[in-house]
Amino acid sequence: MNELVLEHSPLENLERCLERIQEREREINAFIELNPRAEEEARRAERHGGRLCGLTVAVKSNINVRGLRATCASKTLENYVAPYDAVAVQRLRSEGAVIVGMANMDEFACGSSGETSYFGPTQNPAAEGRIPGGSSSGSAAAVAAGFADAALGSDTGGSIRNPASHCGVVGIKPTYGLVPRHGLIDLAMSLDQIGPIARDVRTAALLLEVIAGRGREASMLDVQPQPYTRHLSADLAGVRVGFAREFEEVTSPEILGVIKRSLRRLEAQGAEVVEVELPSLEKALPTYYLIVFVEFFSATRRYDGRRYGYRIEEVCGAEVLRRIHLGSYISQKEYAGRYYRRALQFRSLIRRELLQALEQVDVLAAPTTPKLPHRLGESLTPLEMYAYDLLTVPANLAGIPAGVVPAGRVRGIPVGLQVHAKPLEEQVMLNVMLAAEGAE
Amino acid sequence: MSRAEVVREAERVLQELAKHLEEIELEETYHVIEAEGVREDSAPERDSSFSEAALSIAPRRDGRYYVAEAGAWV
Amino acid sequence: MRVKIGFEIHEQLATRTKLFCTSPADYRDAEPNTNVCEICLGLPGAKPMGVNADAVEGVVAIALMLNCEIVQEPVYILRKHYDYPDLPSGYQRTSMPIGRNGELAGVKIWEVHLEEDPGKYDPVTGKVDYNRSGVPLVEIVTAPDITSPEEARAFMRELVKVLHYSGRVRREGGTMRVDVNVSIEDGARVEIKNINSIKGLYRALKFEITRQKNLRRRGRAVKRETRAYIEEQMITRSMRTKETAEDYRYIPDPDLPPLRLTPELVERVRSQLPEAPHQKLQRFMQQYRISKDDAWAITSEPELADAFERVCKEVEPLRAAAFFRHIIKKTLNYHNLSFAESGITVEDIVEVLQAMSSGRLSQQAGELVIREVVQQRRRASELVQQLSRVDERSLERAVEQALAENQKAVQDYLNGRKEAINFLLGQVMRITGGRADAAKALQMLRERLS
Repeated sequence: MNELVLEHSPLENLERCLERIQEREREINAFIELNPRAEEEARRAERHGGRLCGLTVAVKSNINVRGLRATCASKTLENYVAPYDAVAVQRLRSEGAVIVGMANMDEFACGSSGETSYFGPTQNPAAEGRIPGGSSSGSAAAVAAGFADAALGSDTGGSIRNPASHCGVVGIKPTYGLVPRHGLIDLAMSLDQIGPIARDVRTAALLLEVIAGRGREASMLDVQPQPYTRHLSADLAGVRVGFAREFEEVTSPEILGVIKRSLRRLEAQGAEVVEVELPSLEKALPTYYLIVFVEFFSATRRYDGRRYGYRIEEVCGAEVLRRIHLGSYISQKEYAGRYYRRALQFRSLIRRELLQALEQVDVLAAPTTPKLPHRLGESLTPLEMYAYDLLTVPANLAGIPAGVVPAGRVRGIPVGLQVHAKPLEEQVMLNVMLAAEGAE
Repeated sequence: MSRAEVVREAERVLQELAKHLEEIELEETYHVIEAEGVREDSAPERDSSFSEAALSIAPRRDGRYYVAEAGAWV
Repeated sequence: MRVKIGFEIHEQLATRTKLFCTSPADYRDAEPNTNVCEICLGLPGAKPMGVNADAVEGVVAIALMLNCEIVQEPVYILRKHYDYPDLPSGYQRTSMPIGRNGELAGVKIWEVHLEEDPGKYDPVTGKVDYNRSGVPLVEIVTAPDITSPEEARAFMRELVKVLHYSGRVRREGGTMRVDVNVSIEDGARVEIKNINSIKGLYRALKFEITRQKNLRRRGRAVKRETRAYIEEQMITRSMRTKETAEDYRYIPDPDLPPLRLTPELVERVRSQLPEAPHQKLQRFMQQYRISKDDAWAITSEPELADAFERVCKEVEPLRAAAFFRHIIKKTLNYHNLSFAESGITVEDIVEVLQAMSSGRLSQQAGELVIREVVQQRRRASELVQQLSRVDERSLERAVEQALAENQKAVQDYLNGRKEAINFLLGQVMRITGGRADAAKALQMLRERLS
């Protein structure tokens, strides 16, 4: 089956989402802007059908949807009404999806908590008083709160997987180059990918098969979309699942407990759990951040005040400013060797280790974050905030796919299991995620 | 936090991160995928509804022109 | 004092679409900001499409014609960051060298790159037009091997000719931009920007060298800086420091995989390479047995050279060569047009040359036909008809008329002032509209007056 089965007609389905938004959006703050043409799109979906006919989708505010504001949750782009559709958005539309609105996020995707938005923080619908995670905070929260059936997020170092884990939903960061990025506003171009967030693995897989596949942009893999949903199977006979000892050293025991239970569940469905090594895991975080600083600095040069009204350095929040400043600093001729190029060398090392580990197994399981989401408003240092990304950045550095599926709860707070696979092996990753699903 | 403080703190953050990355002998990875990245030249495409929409969000314009600062560079 | 001059030359490549998108590359007749898409406008989120293969091959072809080695390692496309109103994304994309270590007319060519043009910004009004943004450019960097403005001018003429011959650059003209660096006696290097013609280049160099020499004579140091050439005043002027970015913070563009110039690609381009100007010159001298000066004039433009070869199928090459060099080239220079722009066709030239060799058309009338073809955009066939020599009877009538109307000159002649006959001949030419055979008319006048 690779068609969506909704209980209601597109219009009714949209009505239900809008009702829930009406009820709880003031509290959750998942959206920056709702789509005034959503009803029109639902009616069109009723007429034209499509593989996603009537599916309501929230789109992260760093993805261009023609006619809606792609603000990146920043004052810098508060007046930027997108004049074009991202390729992923075009593909959703052509299959009958209905765009509910533009989701809240960390400013320019610089954050792991959903608190740095110029439009205010997002609440975690699944864990009251806690951060939803980030940077795709609004996308995950909208799905968790039932404001939308699914969402598009972007993941540079965990920005889909982190909030998916904290909000108890499914999130996928595809292989780098599988989903067109055209229309996704950059954080770090060599790491960014658009991916789906949904309440279940099947819907996420369906979204992925719609948005995946070669586009016209230069830096893409030359591949056709695969019918993931048709081959979805929770039978793990013969599947080897790796787990690295290094994960245990950095993860809180309560999260580790949930992950271990999840691994046993996979074993019960036929998988073999194998220990692998990732000796350079601790290098991934500094490597990641130094690369992000430089690429983000480059990406933000266009916000010079001439074309979008504000000069970014004059109106942005502290985290964005910090990254721009550091990117500018370490890309200077005299420092590039010591910082930027060295990070790129470590990227080679981490990528090699991950691919070697994956050679011994089919998938690599891991926790998503080292710790539980903090309380909203609690103040963290930049490095404490960066530490959330410890376990999600390796996938981006290596360009491999990784997905998160709810694995259980700790004191009511959702915890997601992360599953990595080899490049373009989304199918086996999805199958393992399907098998892990339903743990709660 | 003031802008100046952010910048000062940023440098501490950088030192904290960079101290984990000692010198190593490895090629840099700029791109994680092998893509051809070349296309054949083709018939040009033009979308007037796009160029209008793009122009309409310009903070300053004069007819069909975008307007940046004047006189500042000479 | 020893002068060292080096160039960075930029010229647009003649592709249909831009370098990283499918917007039209030819913006000459386009309304401002209509040849644009999200990619060349640098809108948030836009990603470059694959690099235009025609532009890559164009740069390879030009590099080969400049006797460069083609780089075999992956060629990264870099982001060069600087802040200027014409740059929509705050960086310009420029490739690492595609060709290296070339040579032209004794000047070493250091590097040949591919890059994108920025938009067009008018600093006076602040208006920006992005139609030009993303148009592919070839950038050629020379060693500082040139020692005078005269040499600089000669080299640029030769380079322009090679670019033109390559068939890869825009023919409309006015799109070339040159940055020049000048130093004297190993003093500081001064870069001059904003030069867009050979004449401008010559004048800018003349001014700048004098300026630097004067500074040194007064015992002052030349400052290392970037200056702009101000066309209207023919001077160079120091540019604000902001415009001369201190550090471009080059990084390989993460959105663009490196180019790979495979041996197959290079061989294919090489095998299709047009004949270089100096090769054509040699061949013309041998094949048509024409002088070096004739061949030089004829090969100044590839279209002119092609026309010459076609004309030679119908007309004797020596006659054709003289006509090309003395009549056609002179007319083109006078009107400041290229042959392609002139409207002259091979048929026009053959028509005139045949009429001249049969005696129907005088040398002067032949030149007149060519001038009229250019100015009036008329065809030579009808003009030759009008300008053909008058027949014997009409000439006789014209002679009679001239004598009858100028009795004083006739008397002068008969009184021994032999030069009066020139005046009478002039009158005959006037009456016939220049279509008389001068020798014949003179002979008739002498006979009638004897």
